Order: sequence, then C-alpha cells, then structure tokens
Amino acid sequence: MSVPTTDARPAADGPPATDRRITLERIESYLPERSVRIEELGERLGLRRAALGVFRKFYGLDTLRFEPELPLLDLLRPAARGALAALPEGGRVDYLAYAHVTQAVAPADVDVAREVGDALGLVDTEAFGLSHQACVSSLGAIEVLGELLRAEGGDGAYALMVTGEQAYSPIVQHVPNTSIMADAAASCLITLDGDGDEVRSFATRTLGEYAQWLELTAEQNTEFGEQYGRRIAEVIHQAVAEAGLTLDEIDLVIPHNVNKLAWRQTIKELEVAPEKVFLDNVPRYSHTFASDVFVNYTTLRDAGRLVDGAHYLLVSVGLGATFGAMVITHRAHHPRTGGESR
Amino acid sequence: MSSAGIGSAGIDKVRDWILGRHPERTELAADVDLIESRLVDSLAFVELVYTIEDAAGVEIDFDNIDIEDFQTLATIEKAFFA
Repeated sequence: MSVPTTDARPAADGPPATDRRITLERIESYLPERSVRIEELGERLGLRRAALGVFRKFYGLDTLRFEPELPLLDLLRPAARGALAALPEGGRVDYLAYAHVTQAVAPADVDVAREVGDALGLVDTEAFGLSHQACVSSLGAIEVLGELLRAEGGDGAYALMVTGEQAYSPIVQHVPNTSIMADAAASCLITLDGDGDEVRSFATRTLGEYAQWLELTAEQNTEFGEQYGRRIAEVIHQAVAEAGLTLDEIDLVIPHNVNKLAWRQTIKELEVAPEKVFLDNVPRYSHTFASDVFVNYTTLRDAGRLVDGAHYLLVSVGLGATFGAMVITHRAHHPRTGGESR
Repeated sequence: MSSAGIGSAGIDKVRDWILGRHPERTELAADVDLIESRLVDSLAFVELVYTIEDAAGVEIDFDNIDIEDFQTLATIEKAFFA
C-alpha cells in the first residue's frame, strides 16, 4: 500500500483540500543520559557470549541508552516541547499522535497521548495513539496527521507527532538475532505548506503474514530474512519515484538502526555506495523503536550535514511486518531555536 | 559438488546447516558468497556462529575474526577448521 502525500481529496465542506504539502516544521529528539554497553545487558537478556559477539562485531552495536527508572512522560516530554517551540504565534495544535511500537506501553487505563498533550498544555488538542506499523508508526503518523490537517485543518492548524518508548522488559528489548532495543524519544511539528522540510512522498507496505512478531516459525524467519533487503528496496524505489526523483538525487538515506549487517545486505540490493546510508548512530544508540530516523535526522542536522534543498530518504522497517520510506526535501533556512539538547 | 575435496567433518556440518535452511538447494559450492546471496541473512548470523562453534568444538574469538571470515564455506573452513 502506498498513499502519495500529494493525493489530496476534497474536504467535506469548506475550501477544497488541494494538494497541499505536508511540512515538518521542527524535528527534535531526546536520549536519556544513562549509557550502557551491550555486554552489560547480557545477563538481563539471556544473551550468550557468541550472541553478544555477533551483535558487537557484525551488527555494529556497542552502546545504547537505557534508563528504566525514567517515567515514560519524562522521556517523551523534552523532544515534544522542543518541537512545539516552533509553533508560531497564532498557531494551534489540532492533533497530537503518540506513535509507538509496543502496543502495551502503559497500563490500559493510561492514555499516553492524552497525558503528553496535558503535560504540554495542549488541553484542546485531539490526542490519540497510533501503532500497528511497529517501527514505521512514527512515519505513518506523519502521514495520518497530514491527512487530518488536509481534511479538517484550517488556517494556523498544526499537528504534533510524538514517539518514544522504553525497553522496559527483556522481551521488548531483545529482538532475537536482530537487535537490542534502546530508549529514546522524538517529536515533529507538522503543518501544511509551511517553511519546514517538505514531505515529498511516503511509501509503505505491510506483509501481514508476518504479523506474529516474535512468534514466527523458523521457516517464516528464514523467508522473511531472505526478502528483507528486497522489500526495503521496493518501498524505497516507490517513494523515490513518487517524489519525482531518482535514487541518485537522494543525498542520504536516514535509516532505522536495526543493525549494520541488515543494512549491508540492503545496500547491496539498492546498489548504492555504503556511505549513502547513515549508520554512525548504530553503535551509539542502537535501535530506538520508532525514534531512529528522527534521532538520526537531528544528529545530522546538528552536525550541519543536512543541506538546504537536498533530498533525504527516511527508512524504517517494523515487525509485523511493515516497510516504510519517506522522501523529504530539507529547508535549512527554517528558523531553529530552543531545541532540547541531547 | 565443487566443494568436494576440501571437506572436513566440521565444514560439512556447516554446509548441512545452511542447506537445511534452504530446502530448494541440494548443493553449495565453497566459493558462494553466503552473505551477499542471503543464504545466511542477518537473522541467521548468530545461529551460524553457534553452528561453527559446535562443529569446531571451540569458542570463536571475536577479537580476531572479521566478517570476511564468514563470507564463503572456503573462508569459514580456513578460519575455523584449518
């Protein structure tokens, strides 16, 4: 399934929703301070020496942020506040989406989206959770929020995507043979036709036969592993084509941090230079659920590596299994102040 | 099979493990790139290490190996069964 972001539909009333562009007015991320080496998690995760060796040597994992005592709201708030700081005078946040991977991030009677909204003083904002695309949920939320703004948003309407969660149990933290999950959060203030980064396209595909997550059979895991690179390449090519670009015109792929070996195989499939995929944060932060692409974005931006007018590809894969790719065009002149330091 | 002649009991166990994961294949040459061809994908890498350790009867020293050592049956044999 792919829904080009330029596929505008008429609104039920009011002015027709044209093909207004989704723009990302401010992206911020937050990483808790406590950093651990993966070996320190060996006992907790039941990882044997050889598994840790593979994770370090071949998957490229080293350290990650892990602070289980930090309340979830304290993890989510800094980046959300930072993104919200870009809301101009007269602007209002109509929607807040909390995108998460693990479906049970809080007790059933706790509405995390609502609590984040309240913590930010967004009492009139419609807040809701969004999941089911696992680690692609944050990119999916941007599209959903953009469509809501197109359908219902008037002048001065904004939306806030909030993502972030914690590796609160070994089952959540260790994806066997794949990655070690880590804590982080990210947020993105969205509007239509703003001055921020323009979302050029979003392609996503869900292969429902792998919906059992960690309960797949050995045969299904083998089958999934074999087609992993090819499936990512498909959504990447689709997103790039829908953006009216070629892969050569993409400056950099800003990926999820699942592991370096999986990306090595994908890079081969894409036939691109290894430097085209930003993997520097894999050994620093490991895989931070749906926050990776935004954490990596802020790392690159803060290092001055994002160029005005250049095109970037945000790519993530979620268990379940969803593959997603979004093309954005960076607008460096966009004012940027008050972001949370990491 | 082009791997004939380089065989040892250890490397045969590794070959059998890879072929066991890919029922569509009946043979595996010593020079086939296991990673690029996805015969060993990232999901299976830990298991490959366990298979090699089990067949070689030793623990792999991760400080002294590289991913190239796992590239083909020939490189695995040279690194772990020679």
